[in-house]
Amino acid sequence: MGNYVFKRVLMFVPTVLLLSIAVFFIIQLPPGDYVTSYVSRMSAEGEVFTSEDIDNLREQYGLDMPWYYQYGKWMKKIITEGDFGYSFSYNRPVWSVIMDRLPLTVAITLIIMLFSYFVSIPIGIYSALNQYSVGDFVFTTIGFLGVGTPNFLLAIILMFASFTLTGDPLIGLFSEDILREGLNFSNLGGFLKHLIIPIVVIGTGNTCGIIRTVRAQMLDEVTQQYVLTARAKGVSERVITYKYCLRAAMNPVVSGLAGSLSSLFSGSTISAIVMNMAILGPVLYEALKNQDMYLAGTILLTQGFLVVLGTLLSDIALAWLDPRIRYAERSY
Amino acid sequence: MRSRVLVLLMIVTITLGLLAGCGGTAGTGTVPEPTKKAQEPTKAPEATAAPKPTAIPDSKTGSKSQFTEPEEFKALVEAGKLPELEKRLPAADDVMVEYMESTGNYGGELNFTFNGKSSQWYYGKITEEALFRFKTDGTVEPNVAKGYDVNDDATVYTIYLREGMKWSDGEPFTADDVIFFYYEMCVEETFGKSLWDCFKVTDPDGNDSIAKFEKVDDYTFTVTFEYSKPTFLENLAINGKWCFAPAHWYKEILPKFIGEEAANAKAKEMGYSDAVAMGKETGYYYWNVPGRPTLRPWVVFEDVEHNDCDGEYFVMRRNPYYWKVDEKGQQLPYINELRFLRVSDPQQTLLKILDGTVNIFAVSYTDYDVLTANMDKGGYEFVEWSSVSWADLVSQLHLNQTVKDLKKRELFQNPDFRQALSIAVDREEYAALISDGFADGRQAAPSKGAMGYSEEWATKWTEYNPEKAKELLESCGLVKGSDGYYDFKDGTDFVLNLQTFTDSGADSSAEILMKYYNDVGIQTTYKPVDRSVLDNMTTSNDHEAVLAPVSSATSVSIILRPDTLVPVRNYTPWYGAVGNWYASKGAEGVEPTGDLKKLCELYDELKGAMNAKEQEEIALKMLRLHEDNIWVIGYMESLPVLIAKDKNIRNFPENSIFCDEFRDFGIAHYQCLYFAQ
Repeated sequence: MGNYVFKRVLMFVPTVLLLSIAVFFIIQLPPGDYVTSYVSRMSAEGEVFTSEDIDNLREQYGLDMPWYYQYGKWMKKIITEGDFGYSFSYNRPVWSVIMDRLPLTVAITLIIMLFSYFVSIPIGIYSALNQYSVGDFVFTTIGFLGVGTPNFLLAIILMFASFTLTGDPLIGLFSEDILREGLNFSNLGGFLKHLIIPIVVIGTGNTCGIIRTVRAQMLDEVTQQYVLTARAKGVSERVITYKYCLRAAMNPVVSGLAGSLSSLFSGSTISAIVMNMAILGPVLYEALKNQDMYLAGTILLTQGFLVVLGTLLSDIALAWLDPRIRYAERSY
Repeated sequence: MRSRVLVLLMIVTITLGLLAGCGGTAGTGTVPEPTKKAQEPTKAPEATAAPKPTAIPDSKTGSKSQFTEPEEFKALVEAGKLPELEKRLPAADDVMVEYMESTGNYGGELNFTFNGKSSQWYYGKITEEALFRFKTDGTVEPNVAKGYDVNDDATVYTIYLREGMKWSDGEPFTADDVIFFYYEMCVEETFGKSLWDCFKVTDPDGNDSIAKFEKVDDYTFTVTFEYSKPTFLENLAINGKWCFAPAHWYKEILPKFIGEEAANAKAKEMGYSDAVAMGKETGYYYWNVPGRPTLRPWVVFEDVEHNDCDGEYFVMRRNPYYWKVDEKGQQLPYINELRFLRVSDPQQTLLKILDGTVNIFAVSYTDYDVLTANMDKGGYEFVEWSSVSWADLVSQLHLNQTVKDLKKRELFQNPDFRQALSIAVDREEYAALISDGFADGRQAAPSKGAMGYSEEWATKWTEYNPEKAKELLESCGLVKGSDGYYDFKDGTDFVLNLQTFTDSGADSSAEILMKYYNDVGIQTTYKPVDRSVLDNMTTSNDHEAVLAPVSSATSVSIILRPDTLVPVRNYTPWYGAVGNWYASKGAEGVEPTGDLKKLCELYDELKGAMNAKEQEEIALKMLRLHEDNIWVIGYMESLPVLIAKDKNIRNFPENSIFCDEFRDFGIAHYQCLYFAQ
């Protein structure tokens, strides 16, 4: 086990480095740079730029250098000073822009993740154990509908319904009171109200996937011979289901955690834009559009880092959960 | 209908106003020193032959009323936290009195949506206080300045300020702040902009020289040019909207005064990467910066929560030192604060208008139905302001005159080809489809009543004649290929690629235009790309034929703001890389030929013109070149700007003109708005 973890960790560093190069290279690929997009946006508002102004801007942002030079400078600062650069469009250090939204992003994603696991695993088990029952068909239908409906469309429909029924489209995570006064006890209800749509919209998308996975896995497991053996030996159904089958069925769900970690950053970007949620997804989207390269680069890098880290963690978790993997490693 | 007529009248007055304004020598506004008053009549005869419009007063200086203030300030004064009102306002003789339809009452707040930095000009313009501001008739009037005098050859401007006026932090506002702005911010380029054209004058040999600012006393300064600058005040109102900066505040942060190191530390503390960025952000986009003193009616205060214009929500509070009052002597603004809620998609703004949160916003005609259906629920009404666009935005086709494909370039530069594209379209049908009958078909030309307008121009090449279009295409050297589409002479396919940005709203107009073009044998494609991608393409001259350009052909006056009509910089799609050529004085870009070159030369002449008459003659010649060439093809007239506005808001102009020169919504003077009780 120790050896296995060590090897995994060793692979981690070069992967992240390669990732950062790829990220930086791709970000600067589109024609133009932050200055061109900035100048055109401000020009559209009537601001006048001379070519001299534009050159000055480029120099100020260090965009007059080739990309590998900019990359080197960026990496050096990250490693030596922990400075992720400066966001052009926010006029602030990148890290402070990210940190502004990270806690909320993590909180929201965790709530949604918990929601989807709590809802979907029991349903999955139920569907598998009662295959082709009325309940199974109902859940399967809802599941397919959930997977089939684009999240953003569902968001729009729910917002519209809320607007026609209550007059308040429930845009954003916070009501204006909370934005003014900060979150406190009296407006907690408002906050929860604003959470309904995001949870339903983003949650259902995940939920349906997990239901299908758990159901299929459980169905596979319950027909295995060890189940038959256990049953023959008189082991109770409860133990068979929860101690043996479920444990094996959880395998793909756990490896899916890696993806969940990265979705902390950019998950459900489109839905977040539609619902005006102040999380990181929309920030990344804007940054890419405006070619705010250090901001986009840092978000993507962090996200990549989290995927790699998530894979590492889920591998370790799997090794712990599933003895077969441990044994396979040991036999090398 | 009534509103249309009013708008027309307004545009006529604007044109006249601009002409007279260019004469510029007749001092409008108050002339504070009696000795100067005598000069006024002597300047009048120099004005142009055009009849001088009756000046519409928007304000006056000096009030005899008893001044009053909102309750919140009264309480602060009583608590000793704020000086008395009389000490905060300028001297009674110098205070500015805004004229308005009805005097209002204090209270309420205005709600808006915003989207980070892209919205900074939106709230910038509605709170802007310029030294001189435009009126709807196109003339300028003193605003922050109290008045001015100018000598006979328009080389020396004497500008008077208001005695006792204060910055939003309570420090006095004086001529030193103007001199500081010019020499420390502008000339030194501390705020990241090269010196504006309004401070430069071109002599007959084409050499630029810059203005000299001198302080006379605390409330008077002079601006001296080496050569006549008759349009200085108008140019200043466009370029150098604010011509002052709080010297006391800057002397504590700029490297020149506190040293490089301390300034960089200060910048870091304020959240900027270095002193250069700090100078730029606090100098140019200063209305975003908490704690930076301003003269605006509402300010992003440092000690108020939610003052981060990059965050999710921010508030602009009433400025206790605001220097304007109404006729009853009530200190403006009436409305307590402006609140801004961040949205990530324009549709969210629409929802916020529908539910009655957002009080004033320009809306799109495509949302007309949903807006009408929810009018009672949202409590808003429509107001229409006229636009100065040469043609409806999605019906403007810009053929890049310097397109990189040389065969296409030759074609696009051929007036016959442009005529063919113009007459290939049945404008009547087109306009009926696009605007639901709101608008009529038309060529791209100045609005009726504006300078250079003629019936012939507005209807030039507008008769629908596909047969003639085909003949013209053949005369351009195109030959019909076996696929039924025209090819180049050498047999290669000719494809017209229409480009626009996503969300430009041009999808349906593109679809109809493509049908017409296809009918006469032009193979056409249409591709919307992300706005920044299109902008990049325009910057690098990679665009071909742009429909609904971001910078559309529009003009209040070709003299004052020629950018979309004359290739002065890299900006509008139709002139492509010629803009770069002109801006770099021939070092970069593509050198124009023929009439386009003539247009550039005329603009050079215009910059050196001595008086309004000469300027007008040159401007008309430039417009004539546009009429001859139809560089911008228009298919439908421009619809007015549709504004959804809270029914209870008073003093919001029913008719006005929406353009950057007038600061878009800024001309509505938000400090005068109030909620009816």
